[in-house]
Amino acid sequence: MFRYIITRIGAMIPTLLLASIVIFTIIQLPPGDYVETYIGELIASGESVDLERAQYLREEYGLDKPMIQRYLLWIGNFVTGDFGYSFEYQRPVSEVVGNRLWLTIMVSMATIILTWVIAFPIGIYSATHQYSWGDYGLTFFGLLGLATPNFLLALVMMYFAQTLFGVSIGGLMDAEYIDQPMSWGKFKSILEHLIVPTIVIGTSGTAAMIRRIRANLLDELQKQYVVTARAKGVPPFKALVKYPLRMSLNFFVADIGSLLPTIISGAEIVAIVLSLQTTGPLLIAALQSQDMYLAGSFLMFLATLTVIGVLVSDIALGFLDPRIRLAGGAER
Amino acid sequence: MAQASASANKTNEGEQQGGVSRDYSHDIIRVDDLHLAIDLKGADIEVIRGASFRIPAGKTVALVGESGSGKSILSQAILGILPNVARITAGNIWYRENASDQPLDLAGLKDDSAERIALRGGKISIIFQEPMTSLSPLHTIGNQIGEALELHRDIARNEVQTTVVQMLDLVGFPNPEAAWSMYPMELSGGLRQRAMIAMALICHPALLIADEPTTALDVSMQAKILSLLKELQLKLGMAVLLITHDLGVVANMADEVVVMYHGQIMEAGPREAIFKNPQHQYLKALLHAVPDLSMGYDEKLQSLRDIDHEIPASMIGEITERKTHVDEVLLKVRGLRKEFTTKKSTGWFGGTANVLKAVDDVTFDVRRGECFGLVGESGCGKTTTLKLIVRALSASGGSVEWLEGDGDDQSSIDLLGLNNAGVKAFRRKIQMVFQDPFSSLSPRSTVLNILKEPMEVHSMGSKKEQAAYAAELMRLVGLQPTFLGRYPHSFSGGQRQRIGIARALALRPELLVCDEPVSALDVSVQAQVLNLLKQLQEELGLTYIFISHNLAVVRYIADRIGVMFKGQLVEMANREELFENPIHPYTKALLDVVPHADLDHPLDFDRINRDMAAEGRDWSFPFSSQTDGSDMEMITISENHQVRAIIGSDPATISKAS
Repeated sequence: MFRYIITRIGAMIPTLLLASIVIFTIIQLPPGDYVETYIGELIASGESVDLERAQYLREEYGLDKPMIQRYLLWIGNFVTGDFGYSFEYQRPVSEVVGNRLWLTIMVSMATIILTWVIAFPIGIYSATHQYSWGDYGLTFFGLLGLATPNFLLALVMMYFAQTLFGVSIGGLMDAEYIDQPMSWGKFKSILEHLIVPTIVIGTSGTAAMIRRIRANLLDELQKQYVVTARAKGVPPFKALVKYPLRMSLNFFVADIGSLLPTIISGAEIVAIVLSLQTTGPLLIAALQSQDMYLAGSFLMFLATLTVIGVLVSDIALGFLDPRIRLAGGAER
Repeated sequence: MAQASASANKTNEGEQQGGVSRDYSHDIIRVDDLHLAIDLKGADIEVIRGASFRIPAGKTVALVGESGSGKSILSQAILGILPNVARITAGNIWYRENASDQPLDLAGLKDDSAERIALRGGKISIIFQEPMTSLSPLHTIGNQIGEALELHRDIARNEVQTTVVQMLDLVGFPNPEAAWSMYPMELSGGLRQRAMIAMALICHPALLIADEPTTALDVSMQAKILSLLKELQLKLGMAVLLITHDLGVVANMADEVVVMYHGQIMEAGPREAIFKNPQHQYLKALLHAVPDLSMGYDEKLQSLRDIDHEIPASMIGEITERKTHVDEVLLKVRGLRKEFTTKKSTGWFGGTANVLKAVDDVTFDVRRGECFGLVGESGCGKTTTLKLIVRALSASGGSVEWLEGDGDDQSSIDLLGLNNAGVKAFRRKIQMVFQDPFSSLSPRSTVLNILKEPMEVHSMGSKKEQAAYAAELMRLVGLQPTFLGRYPHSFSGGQRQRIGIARALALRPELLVCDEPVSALDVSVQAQVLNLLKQLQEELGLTYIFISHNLAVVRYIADRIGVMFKGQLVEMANREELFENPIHPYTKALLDVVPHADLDHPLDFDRINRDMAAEGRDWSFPFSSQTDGSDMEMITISENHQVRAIIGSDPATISKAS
């Protein structure tokens, strides 16, 4: 196991290196650079631009250097913890992202917990009552949730909240609290605003989760060892939880790997529609304005978290499932 | 039918008064006119139609019948673990643990009622056919067995482990303390079945239901498990309901026999009456359909349902050509070896590599037109040998030579030296029939595509010719060409195996390699498939290599037989010679553990238990190696009989030593 973990961590390095190259290349693909976008904006707003200043900016940001050099500079600094400088915000990337990170994590955690709390009981019910009216009904609503685009649901909810209750649900807190220090009032305001985004972002995830729990549990319920448990006289609920449910959790644990990046990426489109101050809109804006260090470093965070998440779930699977733990290293 | 069971009851009561178990004078289970239906998409199908029988306390009742006859669902009804779609529509199941108890109608109780749950695992328990899947892979053996104990007995936590370890010891675990914390995947099939038995018996139930407990095991393991069951039954004084389709097992285990057919009880009575004087057509047919060691060498099995097949005209030309070369050596296997390395992961930093000799210096010839049988326990290397010959695995050493032509223009091909293109071309000459007809046919291909695929791979003929030939193949194995458009799931096990044979014959091979082709089939269709294989061999002039762990099956079909043990051939002889005059102690032991489907040759359970204690090689001189095994070779006893013994041993002393 120890050896396995070491080799796995070793394998992460080339993976991340490859990811960084791909990320950097793609960010560089659109024609032009940040300075060009910036100048374009200035011209559009009717200001005069002096070409010397553009040249100065390019030199200042290192945009005049060849791509390979810029890449090496960026990745070298990234490794040492310097994530670069955001042109747009005129601040280091770590500061720009850091400000929004805890709000993002809060929205994501709330969403994930809501997803689990709803999906598990429904999934288990659907699987144990397969082809019953309850199963059909829940499946119908689940598919509805799966098929509705999140941002559309967000728009619909905003509309009804406005017309029926006369409240604005955009943002993550009332305007008066923005940039204020934490207080009881601010906390309450955040909680109130959290409800709608959580539901909106969570819907499709919940629906997908229900389907997966149902399918996995159904597979396990037909296995012989479930009959063995019943034949032993294990009461029905315990027989369900101890054997097939535990077994069907493998997929769930494997899923945890992909949760890490979603926790900080913060459901981009919905966040824009609901104007949440999370990292999602930040990333999109950075990509649009070619704020390349902000975008690149942020995507690199996501890649790193994905790789770490997968490693964590693989190790967790090894601990949970003796078949994975004990079969490791055997050769045919 | 009610009459049949009534008369059975009478005879049994008579027998019981003078029987061994005088303390048990009552019936623990009395099934009375039970009807059971399965709900299939709204339509009820009655699968048990008025079954009545009894299980006397402390006795063994065998429930015999082919798959689909309703025997398993009947046991599920007694235990209360019916699938959701099944329900009891009429009748009673009377349960009475002690003679003085009021009978309790189990049929009237809900499966999940508290009374039922208390009975399950506590008073009535079950062991299943498939030891590989009936234990949870995520929980330790100790946890799973201990759970049953904690559910039904008021026992202190710290005593659970001691009790379970005692039970594991009782069922024959070599190291019960270690087994407590082991996972099922770390155990062999035989040990898993023992763990299952320990789990079923930990609460000392009054009735044990054994649902085909040995079908998935090989003969030697079967004999050990049967012996164990018998021993434990005596110790714990429980009744056993033994569900099986193997009449050999019935003859050795049962006090009473109940024969089921299509959800009805055909015949019931004490074992002697059933075997000596079978009344019902189905039972009589069943007794003739099972290959047995005591039948004549040229006696033909009577299949329950015979099939007609025809040889396509296009094949006849090749056949006459092939038949002229009968008895010449076709395949020469010399010193074949295969080693597997398994890494035993011990500790945090990996472990030492284990080398397993799966096939160790195997040498034999296969002659044109004969059927060469390979027998041995599971894990002895039979299947690996086959896979090496068909080049599905690569050998670690030795040679396999294919001989063609005759006299001066004889040519030989070195099979192990062929490159990829050579192997592909060669596959037209050797084809394989697999053990499991359910997993060896793709569920997503029609039969037509299954039969056409080999021809497409080897570009034989136009599309039209291929389709026409596929139809001929269907007729060859006795199936309707109109079935070509169907998918495998719409066929029974026997029909699927015939499709598997047709696919193997699609390339018109000369050698057919059969890997336990009937062991996954019901006894009633075993005879059918065996007879078909025998006829095809004769009519098409085919050569077979046939492996099986069932000696009776090999005896029925093979001309020459090799016995394998731990990767080595220990004895090779003509069929009659091997069965009439076995020399090697292992061959003898193997013959001893085959249960006969008659009452005159009971298994010697005492001896099996003794042998079990002395697992491994303690064979007498000259059959045991004095060193690491390099001092052994095949010694020729007579023209067609060879035995593995110490180099240079005198054939006469070997014959005597046995």
